[in-house]
Amino acid sequence: MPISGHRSRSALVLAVAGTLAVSTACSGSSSGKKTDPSKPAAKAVAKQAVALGTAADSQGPDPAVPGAKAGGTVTVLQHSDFSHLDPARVWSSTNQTADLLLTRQLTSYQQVGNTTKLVGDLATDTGTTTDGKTFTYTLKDGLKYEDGSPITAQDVKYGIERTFQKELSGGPQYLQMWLTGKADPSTVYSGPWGGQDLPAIETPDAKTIVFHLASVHADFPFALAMQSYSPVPKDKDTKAAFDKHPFSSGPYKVDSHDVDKGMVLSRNPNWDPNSDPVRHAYPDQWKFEFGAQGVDINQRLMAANGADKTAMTFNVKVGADLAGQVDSNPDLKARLVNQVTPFSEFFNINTKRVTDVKVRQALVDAFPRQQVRQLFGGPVYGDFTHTIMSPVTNGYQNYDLYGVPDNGDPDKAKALLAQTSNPHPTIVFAYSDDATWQQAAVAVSQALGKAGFTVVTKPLSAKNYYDETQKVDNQFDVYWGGWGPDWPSASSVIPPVFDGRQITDGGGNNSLFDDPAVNAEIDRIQAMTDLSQQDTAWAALDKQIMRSAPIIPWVDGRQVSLYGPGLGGVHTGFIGTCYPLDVYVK
Amino acid sequence: MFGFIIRRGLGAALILFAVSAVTFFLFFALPSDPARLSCGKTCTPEILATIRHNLGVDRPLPDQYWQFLHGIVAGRHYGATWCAAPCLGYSFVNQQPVTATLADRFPATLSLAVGASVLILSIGVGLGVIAALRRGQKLDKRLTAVALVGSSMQVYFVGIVARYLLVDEADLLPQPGYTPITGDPGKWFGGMILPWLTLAVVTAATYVRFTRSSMIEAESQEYVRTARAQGLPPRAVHLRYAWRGAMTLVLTQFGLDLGVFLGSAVITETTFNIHGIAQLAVSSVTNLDLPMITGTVLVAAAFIVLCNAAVDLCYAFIDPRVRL
Amino acid sequence: MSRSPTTFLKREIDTSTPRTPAALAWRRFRSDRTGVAAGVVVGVFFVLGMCAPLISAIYGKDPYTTYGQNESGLLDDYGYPTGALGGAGGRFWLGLEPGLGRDVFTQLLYGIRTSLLIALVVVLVVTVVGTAVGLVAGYAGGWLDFGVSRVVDIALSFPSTLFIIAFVPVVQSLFVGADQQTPTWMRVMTLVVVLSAFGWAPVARLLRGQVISLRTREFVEAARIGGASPARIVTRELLPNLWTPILVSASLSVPAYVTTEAALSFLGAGIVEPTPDWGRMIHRGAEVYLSDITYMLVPGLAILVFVVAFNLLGDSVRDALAPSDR
Repeated sequence: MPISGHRSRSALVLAVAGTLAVSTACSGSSSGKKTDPSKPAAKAVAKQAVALGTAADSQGPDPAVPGAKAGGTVTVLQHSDFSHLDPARVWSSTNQTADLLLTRQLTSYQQVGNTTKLVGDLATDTGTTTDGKTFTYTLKDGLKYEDGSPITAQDVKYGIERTFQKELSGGPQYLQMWLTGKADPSTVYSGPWGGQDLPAIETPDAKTIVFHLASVHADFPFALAMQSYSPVPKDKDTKAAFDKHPFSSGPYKVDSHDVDKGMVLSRNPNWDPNSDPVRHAYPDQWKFEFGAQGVDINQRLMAANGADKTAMTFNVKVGADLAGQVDSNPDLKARLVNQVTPFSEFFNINTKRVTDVKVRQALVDAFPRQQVRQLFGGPVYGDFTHTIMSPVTNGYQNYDLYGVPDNGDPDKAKALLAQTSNPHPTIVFAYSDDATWQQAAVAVSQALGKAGFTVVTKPLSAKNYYDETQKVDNQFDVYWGGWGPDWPSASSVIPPVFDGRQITDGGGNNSLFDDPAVNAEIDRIQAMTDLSQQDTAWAALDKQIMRSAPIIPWVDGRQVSLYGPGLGGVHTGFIGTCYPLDVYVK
Repeated sequence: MFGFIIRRGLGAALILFAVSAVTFFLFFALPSDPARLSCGKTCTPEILATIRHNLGVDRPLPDQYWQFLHGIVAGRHYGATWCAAPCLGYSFVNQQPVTATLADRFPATLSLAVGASVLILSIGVGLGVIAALRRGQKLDKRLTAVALVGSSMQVYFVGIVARYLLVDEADLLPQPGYTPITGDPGKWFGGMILPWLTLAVVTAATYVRFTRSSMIEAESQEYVRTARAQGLPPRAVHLRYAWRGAMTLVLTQFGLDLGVFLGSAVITETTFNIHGIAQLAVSSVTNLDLPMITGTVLVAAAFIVLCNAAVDLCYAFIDPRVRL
Repeated sequence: MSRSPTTFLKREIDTSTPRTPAALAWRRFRSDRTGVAAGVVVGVFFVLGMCAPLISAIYGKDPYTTYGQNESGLLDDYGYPTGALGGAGGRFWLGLEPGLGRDVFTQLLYGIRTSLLIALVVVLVVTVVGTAVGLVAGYAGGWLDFGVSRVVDIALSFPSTLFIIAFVPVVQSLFVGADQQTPTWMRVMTLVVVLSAFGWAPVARLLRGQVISLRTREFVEAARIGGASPARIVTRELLPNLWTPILVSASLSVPAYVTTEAALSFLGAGIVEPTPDWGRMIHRGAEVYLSDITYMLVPGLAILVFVVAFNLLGDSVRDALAPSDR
C-alpha cells in the first residue's frame, strides 16, 4: 500500500509548528545508542518466508501466548479516529489494525513466536487451485456473526462485491482487477447496491466459494487476507453508516463509537476461538481514545497512571525528543516495542526529467541518507536499506549495488557527473512543508551541492504533497516516497511501483520509471504459478531495477512505541503497527 | 438610547457583511480550484465532481457569495446533506458542516478565555490598584518594572519554558490540554491551569500598567478632586470615585481585548495543544480546508465586531453623551 | 490578548531653561537613566545585527554550515548536541542546533537582521500610509472621512493573525513557479505586505483623531482664513504638531512587530529555512525542548531582552517628547 494512506505526516505541518507533536508521524527511537539497530529487529521480525500453512494449521484455536490470561480492559490511545472501519474502505495500516478485532477473512496470518504463516481463517485451508486462476474455498462449520447468525459463502461474496461500489472508496483494488481483468473494474461491475451480481465469484452452497480470476495470480491466497475482503451479510449492510459501526464477524463488536472522540469494543460472544487459528481475544474490552497529540500520548504511556497502566497505541511512535529519556530508563525500555515494519521509505528520482542514468546514480551516491535520518530521529527511525524489497518480504536478498557510505560520497558523485554533458545539473527537491522536512531540505541541499548539483528546494503544502508528487507531469526531480507491501511478496511492491504501464496520476510509480525490459520481466514473473520461483525472480529484478537508479533507497521504517506496564504480548504484526491480537492484561 | 442601539447594531452588521465579503472573495477568487482544495486526501474524480456541483463553483462568484450568505441565514443543502442555519459552509475534509465543527471546538476556546479572564482581571487590576495607591513608592516601582517585563513576554516562550519547568521537570502541574468540563471537571481544570497561568502572566502585566495609569488619571478628574476637597478620607476617594472611573476604562479595554481573543488565541492553543477554534483555523490551513478557514475567520471577526459593539453600548449606558 | 498601548509612566518634568522643543526632549531623555540604558541595549542589538557578517567572520563560523552533521561527535545518535547546555562552549559559544547542528550564536546574530528588517520596514510602511490616510480623512471630513473610517473599522475587525496565517501560503504559491526556488526576499515581501495590510488602520485611526482635535484650533483656522491651500495646511500646520504621536506610535510598534513576526514564524507562516530567524528558532526549540531546553532559551531570552529594552525606550521617548501627554 502507498504510505500516503498510512502516515499521518500530512496532517501535521502547521499544527506541528507549535504543538511539539512532530513525533507522531516522524521518527522513532530508542534501541540503544551504540548498538546496531538491525540486531534487535532480526530477533523480533520473521525474516524467513511467510509460508502457506496446512489445513491442520488452519483449524484453530491460535496457539496460546505463554503467560497470557483472559480479562481486563485495554485502552488504546490514538492521534485521530480511524478514518474507516467499513472493510471495503480499509487500506491504511491503522484502519487494518482496528479491523483485525472486528472482522475475519477467508485467509489470515498466524503469528506464533517468530514464525508467520498464511492459514485458512474462515476457510478450512489457504485454498485449492490447479491453474493459478480458479481458487476454491470451503468455510468452516459453526462460524457466526455478532448476532449469532451464520457466516455464509454468499456473505463473503457480498463483502467482496461491495468493494466495487464506488461510494465505498478507499480500499485496495487487487481482487477487483484480478476478477474482472480490467484496470478500471467499475467498467465491468459497479457493485451490489444496484442489484447486480458478480459472476466471477460462484457460491454453489452456503459453505463453498469459487473465484475465477482473469489471469494467473499465484499469490491470490495472500491478497484474500486483506481486511478489505471480509464477509458482510446483505441484510446488515447499512451502507454509509457501516463505516462507523461495522457488523462484526471478529472476536469483538462495537459497543459505542463517538466519532473523533472514542470507541468501545466488547467481546463478541458468538465468536468461537476454536474456529479461529489467528486471533486471541484475551481482554474483555477495548477502549479507544482519539484526538491527543503524539507527544501527549507518549507522556501518558510513560506515566502509566490509573487506566493508562493497561494502555497502548497502534501507531504513535516515540519521537527523537523522548528517545533519550526512554533509552536511559530501564522501566520504560522494558515496555517498548521496537521493530522493523514492512514500510520502506525512499526518494523517488523523476526519471522523466532526470533521464541520464549517470546523473541518477550520482544522486544515489551523493544523497545524505544519514543526515536526513538523523533529523527524523536517527537509528530508531528506521534501518538503512539499499534494496527495493524490504527484509520482511518473501525472497528478500540483501545487496548494496552502489557501496557508498550512508552520509554520501560527493567525490564519487562528482566523478560520475564529470562524465555527463552537464557536471552541474539543477535538481528540484520537493518536500512536504513541515518543520522536519524543511530541515531535511537544508541537509539535502548542502550534500548535493557538494557533489556539484545546483539544488532548488520546493516546499509543498503537506496536504497537497502526495497529489503534487504523484502527478505524471510533476516538475520536481527528487521527492520522498514510501511503500508498504500488502502481503509479504514483491508482487505487491515491484509491479505497482516500477511497472511503466501503471504510470497514472496518483499511482504508485512516482519515479515514472518505464523500462520495457522490466515491464516484460514483471509479466513473466506474474505468470508463474510457483510462489517460491516467483520470489527468486523478484529478488533478481529488484537488483536489475536498481542499476537504473529510479529511486534512492533510504530506510525500512521502525515501529517504536510504548505500552503500559500492565500489558503483555505487545509486538508488531505483519501490518507494521502494534498488533492487538496477542495483547493481554497481566 | 434605543435609537443608538439600532444604529450601532446596524453598523456592526454592515461591518460583518463587509468582512465576510472580503474573506469570501479573497479566498474563493484565488486562482485555485476550491473544489480541489475542498476535496480531502483521498480525492477521487467522483468526489471532485460532486464537490464541484455542490459548491456550485461553475456559477459566477457573486452568485456563490449569495448562496453562502443565504446559507448563513436560512441554511442550505450540500448534496444530500442539509446544513442548518447558520450554515457557514461544508468541510469536505471533515465531512461535516463547518458550524458543527466550530460548535464542537468552541467550549475549549471558551474555557481558555473565561479562566484566563478571571486571572487577568483579578491579578492585573488588583496589582494595578495597589501600585496606584502606592504611587511613587518602592512597591509601585517594583510592580511597574515587573509589569513591563511581563508585558514584553511571549506566550510561546513563557508557556513552553513553564511547561518544561512545572510539568516535565518538577511534575507540579498536569500536562496541559482540554478535556470537556462535563466529562471530567478535575481533568478539565488540571489541563487548563498552565494555559491560564501563562496567559495571565503575559496579559495581566498590561492590565497592571493600564489600571495604574487609569486610576491616576481618574484621580486627576474634576469630580474626584471635588470629592477630595470636600474632605472625604483619601481611601474613600480612591475606592468610591477613582476606582469607579478607572474601572470603566479598564473594562472598555477588556471588552476590546476579549474581542480579538479568538484570533490571538492561536498561539496559546498551538503551544498547549488545546483544540479550540484558533487551532482549528491553523489545522484548516494545513489541510487547505477552505470552507473551514473562511468559517473560523468569520467567527473570529464576528467576535471582534460584537465585543466592540457591546463596549460601545455599555459606554453609552454609562455616559449618555456618547449617544449623540 | 493584545497589548494596550495606552499606559505609560508619568515622569517629573524637567523645568530648566527652555530651548527648542527637540533639545528639550533630548535633555529630558538624557536625564532618564532607564531610558538611556534601554537605548544602549537596543543600540547593541542594531549594531550586532548590522555587523553580523563581520562578527561571524571573526568568530569563524556561519549560520548555514551544518557543523554537527559534517563532523561526528558533535551530535548524538538522536541528533542532540553531545555537550551540556546544548553543546555551548569555547568553540560554539551558544551551542549547536539539534538535528542540523548549525551554530546557534551566528543564527541568533543573523536572526536579528531578519526580524529587525521586517519590523522596521513594516513600521515605516504603516506609519507613512497610516499617517497619510489619517491626515487626509481627518482634515477633509465629510464623506471621505466617513468612508475611510468605515474601511478602518473593517480592517480592525479582521482577526489579523488568523488571516495572515491563512493567506501567506496562498500568496506564495501565486508568484513562484512549480520548479523554482522561492526567493527569501519574496517571503520577506509577503510578510511585509500582509502585516502592513492590517497595520496601517490603527495608525490612521490615531492620526485622524489627532487631526480632528487640531483642525478647529486657532492657528489652523488662522491659516485657512489667510488663504492657505489645504495641502499647505496639512503639511505646514498639522504635520509638525503630529510628530509626537507619530514617533511614539512608531517606536512602540517596532517591538510589537518583532514579536508578531516571530509569532508567525513560530506558527510556520513566517520565514522559512534556511534564513536565520528568531521565531523559527523558537519553533524548532518548541519541538526539542524536552531534550534540549537551551535551544529554546537562547532565542526566547534574546527576544525578551530586546522587547523589554525597546518598550522601555519607547516609554522614555514618549515621556521625553510629551511629558504631560498621556
